[in-house]
Parts: sequence; structure tokens; C-alpha cells
Amino acid sequence: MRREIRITGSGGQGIITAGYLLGKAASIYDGKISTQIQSYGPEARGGASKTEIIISDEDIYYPYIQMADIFISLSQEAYERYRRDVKKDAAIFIDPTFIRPEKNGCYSIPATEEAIKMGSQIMANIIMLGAVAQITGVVSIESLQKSIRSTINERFLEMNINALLKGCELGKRALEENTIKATASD
Amino acid sequence: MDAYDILGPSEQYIQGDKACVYGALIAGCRFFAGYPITPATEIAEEMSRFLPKLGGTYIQMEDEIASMGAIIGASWTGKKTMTATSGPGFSLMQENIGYAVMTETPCVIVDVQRGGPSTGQPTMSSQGDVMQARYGSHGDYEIIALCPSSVQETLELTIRAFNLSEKYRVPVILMMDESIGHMREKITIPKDVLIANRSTVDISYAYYRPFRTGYMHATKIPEFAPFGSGYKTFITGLTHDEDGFPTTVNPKAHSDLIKRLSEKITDNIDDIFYVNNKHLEYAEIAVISYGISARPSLAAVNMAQKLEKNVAFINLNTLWPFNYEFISELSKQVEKIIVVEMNMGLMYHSIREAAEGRCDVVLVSSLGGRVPTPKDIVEMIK
Repeated sequence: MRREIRITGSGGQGIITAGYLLGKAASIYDGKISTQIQSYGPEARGGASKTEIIISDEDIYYPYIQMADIFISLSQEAYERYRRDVKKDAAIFIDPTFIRPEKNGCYSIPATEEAIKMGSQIMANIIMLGAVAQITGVVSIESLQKSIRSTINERFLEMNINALLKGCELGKRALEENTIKATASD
Repeated sequence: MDAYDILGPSEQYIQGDKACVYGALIAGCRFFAGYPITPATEIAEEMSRFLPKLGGTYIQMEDEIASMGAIIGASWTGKKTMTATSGPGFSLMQENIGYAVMTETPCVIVDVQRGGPSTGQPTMSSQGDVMQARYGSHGDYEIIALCPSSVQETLELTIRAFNLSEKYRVPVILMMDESIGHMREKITIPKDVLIANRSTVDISYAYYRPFRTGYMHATKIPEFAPFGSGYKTFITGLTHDEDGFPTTVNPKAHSDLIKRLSEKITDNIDDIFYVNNKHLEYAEIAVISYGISARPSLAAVNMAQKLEKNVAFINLNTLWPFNYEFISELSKQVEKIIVVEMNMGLMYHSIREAAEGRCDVVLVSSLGGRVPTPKDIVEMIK
């Protein structure tokens, strides 16, 4: 099965890093095939930034997104710019600190809020990644941990792993809330 | 220290640009001179990190003209050398690429293509330089240009580029594109790789003439004696005799020289030309592509196969020398050839020329950095 993931946000939020960690986890540690591409260049710090990851059990020929299965956004500007070519039933993840949740339901993950509580806003990308993995199962939490361990500088390792676990927790909570909502609206 | 000692784990998730560096180091490249330019900067960056650990040399030059000059000079000390650039820098290198052809200097030039002409689209993919690789320098000559369409292929074709460059004493151009350069995929670092080195002489100093062929092997490629080896060596961009000295008004000397420079490539097209085919046997339609465009092309061919179309996929991993015979034979077999490329139709011309009207040749062109989708190509197959 081919799954297409787009992660977007502001330059400096660690969007590309999140994409790299996800793709690496899938390809090196989950034994799947994965490609990662990234928007590059003028949109450095501040501007809208995006990365696209394809994860599949089979060879990936076309490495770009045709219709995204998972759409993640950490900034309003990037959300508006890149929320296209997304499947109707796609899993949408937003950070409510920056983006108003969608009416038709999406996973609202307070990654930035939690990151600030944990002492550093830059952990928001890892928290989001944890929530995404927890909810979609697109990659295993264990592989994400390995991916982080083999990538992040040892000095920041502990806090990144904690952020990932925090993200998983938020994911579980969001999943429960969404289930309750869905049941209530039935 | 060996390249394998510093490259890290055998399986990695890396960009095409980095895979190019890995390939170069495995092939034995120990000298890099360049000037950073998007989307090839990562090659210079990684080279500057790795080369000193292997006792190699990295020089950031003042521009691409000087970069090309530096790798030619360093090659004449016996080192395997490389530079990497993109379109604007590739334009500046053309004069010295001709000099490398004329002086039969082994070296590898990487062009990570972006949108042109001029500074164009620095961060977007393109395949607009493939004719420049072939004809960019003046005068008659043959060159070798290879083109990868995955990160793994980038590593392998970089090694191949060095091997061919050493074997045929010709600059070899690796034609990447922004998509392949910046895309990450899993690679497996190959072990026990076949590495070619330029053929050297082992005869008395007195008898050696640097551009006479046939001392050690019956080929059209002269044996190489680096500067400082004790052998008399003289090189010039002027038409030269077997001693390497200028002979500029003798028509025979010139025609003999440029014929040999061309024939050492064209005589060995079977050794140099390598393409990746799928479903060729019963094909009625062939899709020919290369680089990033080859990926949606293969996806489209697989989709069409499911619709029971007899479609072949041909990935032109070797762009130059162009194998007219291969395309000519193909044109006798199929009814239609679809050429997919990210330019206004460049390889399309050579393919049409080789097909000589025996079958339809149509173009799927994509511009502006937009990589063609499998759908674009399937439409043409239907």
C-alpha cells in the first residue's frame, strides 16, 4: 500500500527534519520503501516550508504526492498554501496554536503548546510526529525512536525522545476525543 | 584510510547529492574543486567533510572556470578528480571541458540540472542541459554522459563515471537533476566494487611519447604518465603530435587526432552504452526517458501493462554516446516511441533522427520544474 504524507509549516519549525525522521524510520527500521522530497530554497526561515514523504510496500516510482493520505500543518500560511491534492478521507493534523481546526473534523494536536511546557518550542515537530504515528500507524513508534536516536545529537536526545512519547500520548487522547465526537454526532 | 571506513552504515537514507559523493569516494576520487551552487551545493559540502579524512584535497575555487582548470591540473598529477555544479556553472566549464577532451584528461563533472537558461529556476528540476553536455564545447568531439534516476543509481553511476573516465581518458559528465539530487531514498553501499584506473606505462623513459598509443594495449587510448613520474609529458589544447607538441597547420595531424579522440569512444559503444529496459520483447510502444522523468514513465508503463498494452520502458542511463543502432532497431519493432523529458524536446531530436521515420516519435515535455505525472504519460500510451 502506498501512503502519501505532506508535512508543512514555517521555515525553522523543523518540517524537513520531521520528514527525514519519518522517511528514515519507515525505510531503514520498518523495512518499507520510502522517498522524501522537500520544497527548497527561497522559503527558508519564516516562509512556508513543506516536505513530502511516500511510504510503500512496493517500489516507489513517482516520488511526488498525487493525493495525500496524511496532511500535517504547523502554520496557518503553510496550511493555506499546501492544503490541496489531499484525499477526502485523509487524516489531517493541525497545531491549534497557529491554525483554526477544520469543521469536518481533524486531529488537533497542541504540539507547540506542549513543547513550550516541556521547555522548548522547537520540539513541536517531534511531538506532532509522535501523534501522527500513534494515530495513523504509518510508521512504528519503535522505528521512529530508532530514527531519532541515530540522527539527533546526543545532547538533545533525551528531550526529543520525551517529546515523541508526549506526542504519542496526545495522539491517544485525540483519537479518544474524535471517537467520542463521532459517536455523539451519530 | 579507506572510503568504506568513513561512510558509515551500509544502509542509509540519504539525498542523491550525498550518494554522488559516496560513489566518488568509493571510486577513488581524492581531489575536488568547485564553487557551490543550488542544487549541487550538498556535493561540495559533503566532499569538504569527507575528503580531508581520506588525505584528499577539497578546494573551493573562485568560480567554475577555475574549478574545471583545477581538476584537470590535479588529474595530471595522477589523482582522480571531480567537480560539481548546475547549469550556470556548467556553461562556464565548457571551454575547459574541451581542453580536457583535447588533452585526454580523466575527470568527472557533475551537473545537477535546474531550470535555465541563465540563472533560471535555482530550486526546480530540469533536464535542459543534455545537449550542452554533448555539444557545449566547440569543435568535433565525443563525450560520455550518464544519467541516474534514483539515489542508488546515483551512487553506482558515479562509480561508473570514474571508471569510464579512467579507461577512456575522457571527461565524463554525470547528468543529475534537482529532483534526484535533493530526494532522499534508502541506499545500500556496495562492496567489492570494480574500480578502473588509467593505464600507465612501463617502458624506458627514452622511448615514451605521451600521445602515441599502443605501448601496453592495442587501443586508441594513450597510456598515461602523470607529471612528475619521470616520463617526458607535454600537454596543450592546440592540435598536437604524438609528442604532445603543437602541430597546428597540418590537416592530417588534426584529422588523425580528432578521429582518434572520437573513435576511442564510438568504437567502444557496446562497453559504454548501458540502458535499463523493461518489457522490450513484445513491445508495440516504447517509452524512453531518463533521470527523474524515467520514474513517472515507468509507473505509466506499469499502469498500461495492466491495461494489457504492450509497452516497453527504456531508461537512458547513458545519454552520450548516443546509440543510433539501438534506437534504429527499436524503431523497426515498435509503432510508436514516446519520449518523456523535462525540456522542450532535446533527446527527442536524436531519437527521431535514429528512428528515420520508421515509427512515430512523440514528445511528452514538462517545463517549469514540474515533474511529469504518470497520468500525463499514460494518456499518450492510450
